[in-house]
Amino acid sequence: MAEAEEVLTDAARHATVFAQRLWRRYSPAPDAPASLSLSEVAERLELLLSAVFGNSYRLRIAQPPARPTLLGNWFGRTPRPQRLAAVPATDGTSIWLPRSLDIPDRALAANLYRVMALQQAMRIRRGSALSLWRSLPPLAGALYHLLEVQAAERELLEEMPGFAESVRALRACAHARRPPLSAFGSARRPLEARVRALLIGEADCVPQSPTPEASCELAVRLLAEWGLEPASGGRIGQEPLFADWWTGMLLAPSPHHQHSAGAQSPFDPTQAAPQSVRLERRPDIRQARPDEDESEESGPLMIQLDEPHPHAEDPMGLQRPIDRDDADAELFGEMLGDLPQARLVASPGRPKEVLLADDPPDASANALAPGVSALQRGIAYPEWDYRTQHYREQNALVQVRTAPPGNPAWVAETLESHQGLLEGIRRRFELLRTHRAWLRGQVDGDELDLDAYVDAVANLRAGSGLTDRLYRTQRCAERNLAILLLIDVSGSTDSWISQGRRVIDVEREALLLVSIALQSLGAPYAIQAFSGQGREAVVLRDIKTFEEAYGQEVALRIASLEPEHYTRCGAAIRHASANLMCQPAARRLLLVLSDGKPSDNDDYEGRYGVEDTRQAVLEAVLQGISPFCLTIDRQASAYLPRIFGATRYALLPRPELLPTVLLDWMRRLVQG
Amino acid sequence: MTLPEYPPLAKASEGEPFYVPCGNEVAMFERCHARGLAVMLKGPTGCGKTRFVEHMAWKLDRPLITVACHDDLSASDLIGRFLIRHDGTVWQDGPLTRAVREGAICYLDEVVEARQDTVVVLHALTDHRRLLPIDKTGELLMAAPGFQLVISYNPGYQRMLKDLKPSTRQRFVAMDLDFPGEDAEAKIVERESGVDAPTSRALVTLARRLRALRDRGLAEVPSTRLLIAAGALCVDGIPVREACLAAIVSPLSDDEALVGAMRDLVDGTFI
Repeated sequence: MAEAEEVLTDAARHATVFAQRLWRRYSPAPDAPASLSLSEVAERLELLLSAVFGNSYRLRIAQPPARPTLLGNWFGRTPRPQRLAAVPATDGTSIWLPRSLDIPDRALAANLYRVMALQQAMRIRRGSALSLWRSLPPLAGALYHLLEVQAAERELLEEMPGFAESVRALRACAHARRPPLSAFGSARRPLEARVRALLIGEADCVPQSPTPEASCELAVRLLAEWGLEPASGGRIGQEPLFADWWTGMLLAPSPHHQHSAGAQSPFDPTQAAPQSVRLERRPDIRQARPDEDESEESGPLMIQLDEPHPHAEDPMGLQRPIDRDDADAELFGEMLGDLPQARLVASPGRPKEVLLADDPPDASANALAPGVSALQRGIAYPEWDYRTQHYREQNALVQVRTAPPGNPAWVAETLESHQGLLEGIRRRFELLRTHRAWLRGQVDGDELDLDAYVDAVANLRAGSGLTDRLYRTQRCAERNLAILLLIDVSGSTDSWISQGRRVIDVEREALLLVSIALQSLGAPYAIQAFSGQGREAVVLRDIKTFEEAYGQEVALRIASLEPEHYTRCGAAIRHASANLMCQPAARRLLLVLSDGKPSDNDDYEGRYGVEDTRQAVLEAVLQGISPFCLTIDRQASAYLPRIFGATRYALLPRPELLPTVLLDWMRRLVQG
Repeated sequence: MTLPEYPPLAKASEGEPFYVPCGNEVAMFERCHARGLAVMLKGPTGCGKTRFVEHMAWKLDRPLITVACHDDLSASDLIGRFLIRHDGTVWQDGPLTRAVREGAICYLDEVVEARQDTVVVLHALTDHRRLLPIDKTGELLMAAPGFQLVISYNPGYQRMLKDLKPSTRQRFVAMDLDFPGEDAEAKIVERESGVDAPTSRALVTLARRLRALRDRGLAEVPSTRLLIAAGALCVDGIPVREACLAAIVSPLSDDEALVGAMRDLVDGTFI
C-alpha cells in the first residue's frame, strides 16, 4: 500500500505538470519552420573549424535551461532575470550550439552560427574552460568569463579578419535580445552595464589578457577597481552574468564516466518493450558528491525496492523513485526535463522508459570495455551513429577466421547434379575473359602492319592514293576487375524455403557454382562469409582469398557454411572494402548476398543498423568500389534502397533460383 | 633505312627558372647528375616538381625533354618507331632515345600513369650499364654523358590503383618534395603572380587552412600553382575573394558542405 507521504507527493507532481502543460499551451509557438537549424549547417561548420584550428571539435546541441520553478522564484534562490534560451557553450573539448536561432533571415543565422562556433573553438584553444576560474567568487568568475570572451574574439579576428562584420552582427543581435536593464536587480546592474558597453564596443578599457591564468588574476583586480561588489544584502546568485549568444557559457570539463563492469545483462524477452519519449531538454549531468552515495542523510524518501534500473535522480538529494512501473513515460520525461541537473547512474536490468534527447550524454558504454582480452580483439572498425551524426570510433571488432573444411560428399553431389549447367557456365564466362589483342590498320601504333602495308602499296601501284592506316597496336581490352562476394550466414538463413531446403543450402550451392564461373573468368575474386553477435564479435570467415585459386579446399569450405548469429553488416562491409582496396584493379565489385535486414542483439536492430550499413556502403562508393546487393528478403524494398541506393540491389522472388540468378547478375555486372 | 637529321635540342629556356629551394634538393640533384644516377621526385600536385627540374636543367646547362605519361603510353612512344614514307620506312627516335643520344635530362612526369610494361624499358638505363636497347632497329645505344633520367609521381594520388614496381623504385634516388614553408611559399606566390606581399601572405594562410581539410573529403589540397593563379587574377583587377573562389575553391570540390566551408574560410581570411 502506498504511504500517505507518497500519495501527497504524487498529487503535487501531477498538479504541477498539469499547470505547466496549461502554461505551455498558451505560450507562443516554438519556431517557424523556415528558420535555419543547426543540423543544416553542422557539417559545414565542422569543416570550417577543422580547417581553421586543425582540430575537429564535436558540435552538439545546446539545451535550454530548466524552467524556473515557482518555488525557486518565490524564495528567490536565483535572482531574475533568468536565461530562457539555449546559448553556445564549451567544456574545453566539445562545442554546444543552439538547435535553432529563431531568426527568419537564414543568411544572417548562418553567419551567426559561424561566428559562435569559431568563438567557442577559439575559447577551446585558449583553454578558457579548463582553468581554475571556478574557485573565484561569482562576480570575479563573471569578469573572468568576459575577459576570456573578449580575448578569444580578438585572437579570432587577428587570424580571420574577414569575420569582423559577422562578429559585429552577433554582438548586435545579442545586445538586442538582452532583457532591459531595469529587469536586473540592483546588485547585478553594474555588471550588466559593463556587459552592454562591451557588446556595443564602447568599453575599450578591458585589457587583453594573454592566457586564461592571466585573466583569473586580472578579473580579481578589476573586480576591486571597478567596484562591482554589491552593497551588503544585494543578491547576485551563483551566475551573476546573464549568458547570451555572444558570451556563451563555460561548462565544467566532462568527467570520465566509470564503466560499470558486467553491466550488460542477459536479454530477457519476457519484459515489455520500453516506452520511449522525446525529452524537451536534457538535464545537465551532475557528478555525485564524494560522500553522496555513502551518506545516510539522503532523505527519508529513498526507496530501493528491488534491482535498480538506470534512473535519474534530482540534485537535492531527494532521490525520488520516479522510475516506476505505473508512471507514464511522458510524465517522467517532462519531470526530468524540468530538473536543472540529474545524475547519470548505470545499473543492470532493462529500462522501463527510454528518453530521447537532442544531445545524448557522453555514452561511456560506447567505449570498448577494457576487459576484452587481447585474444578476442580483432580488427576494429568505427560505426556510424545516425543520432549524433558521428562515428563511434572502434566500435565493432571484426574477427577474421578461416572456415573449417566441410563435407566432401556434398560438394561431389552438388557438382554432379549441376553437371549440365556447369559446362554452360564455364563456356559463358570464358567468353568474358579478356585477351591482349592486336588492332590492325591503325593510324598510329607500335609496329608496322605488314598486311595493310602490302595492300596499300598494291593500291598505290594500281593508282589509288596511299592510305595512312598502316600500323598495328596492341591493346589490352583488360577488364581490370576485382570481385568480392560477401555472404550473410546469419541465423535467419536457417529458415526453410522449399523441398526441405534451407536458405543456407541454396546459398552454398549458388556460391559453389559462382566460384567455378569466376575461376573461368580469370578475374581475381574472394569470398567472405559474415555473421556477428554483439559488436565485439563480428565473425568474418575467409572462404577464398584473392591469392588462392579455386580448388577442392575452397569447395569444402563452402560446404561447411552453417547459419550462425546476427547480421551486423556495417563492420563486415567495411572489412570487405578494406580487403578489396588492397587489390590493384581499376574496378572493384562488392557483391553482398543477404537474406534480411541488418540486425544484432544490441542497438544494431532497427534504424541504427540500417544507417550504419548505409554509411559503410557510402564509404565503399567513395573509395571507388561498386557495391551491389542481392537479397531474398521480400521486405527488402523497405530498407535496401536506403542502404544501397535505388539501382544497386536486386530482389530474388524465388530463393531456390539463387544459383542461376546469381550467375546471371554476375555476368551482367562483369560486363557492365 | 636512314636516320633523319634532327635539329639540335634547344637548351633550357633563357633566363633562370625561378625556384626557391626548401632543403638540400639542389645539392642532391647536382651530385646525382654528376654520378649519372636516376632521380625520382615525389610530391603532391603543384608543389613545384616540374619547376625544380626546369631549374636544375638550366643550372646544369643541359637540354630538357619532358614526357607527360598517360595510361596509353607505350614503349614505342618513348623509344621510337618506324614511320612510312612514300618511298620506304624511316626510323623516328622517341623522346627517350633522343635524350639518351644527346645527353639531355629526360623528365617523365607522373610516371605511375604509364603502363607497367612501358616503365620496364627504363631498367637498363638506370643501372650501371646506362644502355638503351632498341630492339626494332637492333641498335644498342650507350647513354651520352650528361644524360639523366628523372621521374616524378604524386604518392597521394590513386595510390591503391597504380604504383611503381618495387624493382623499378629501387633504381632511383628519391627526393621528397612538399609544399614550401609559409615564408617561402608567400615569396613564390608574390614573385610568380606579381601580387603584393600582404595578399600573397593571406593567400598562403588560406592555403594552410584548406590543406587541413585533406582528410575531410578534399581529395587534393590546394597547390602553390592554384595560389599563383588566384594571385594573378587579383593582379588583373579581380577582387581577391572572387579570385579565390574561382581559382581555389571551385576547382577543388563539388561537395556542397566542403565548398561552403571553404567559402567561409575565404570570407574569414580576407577583409
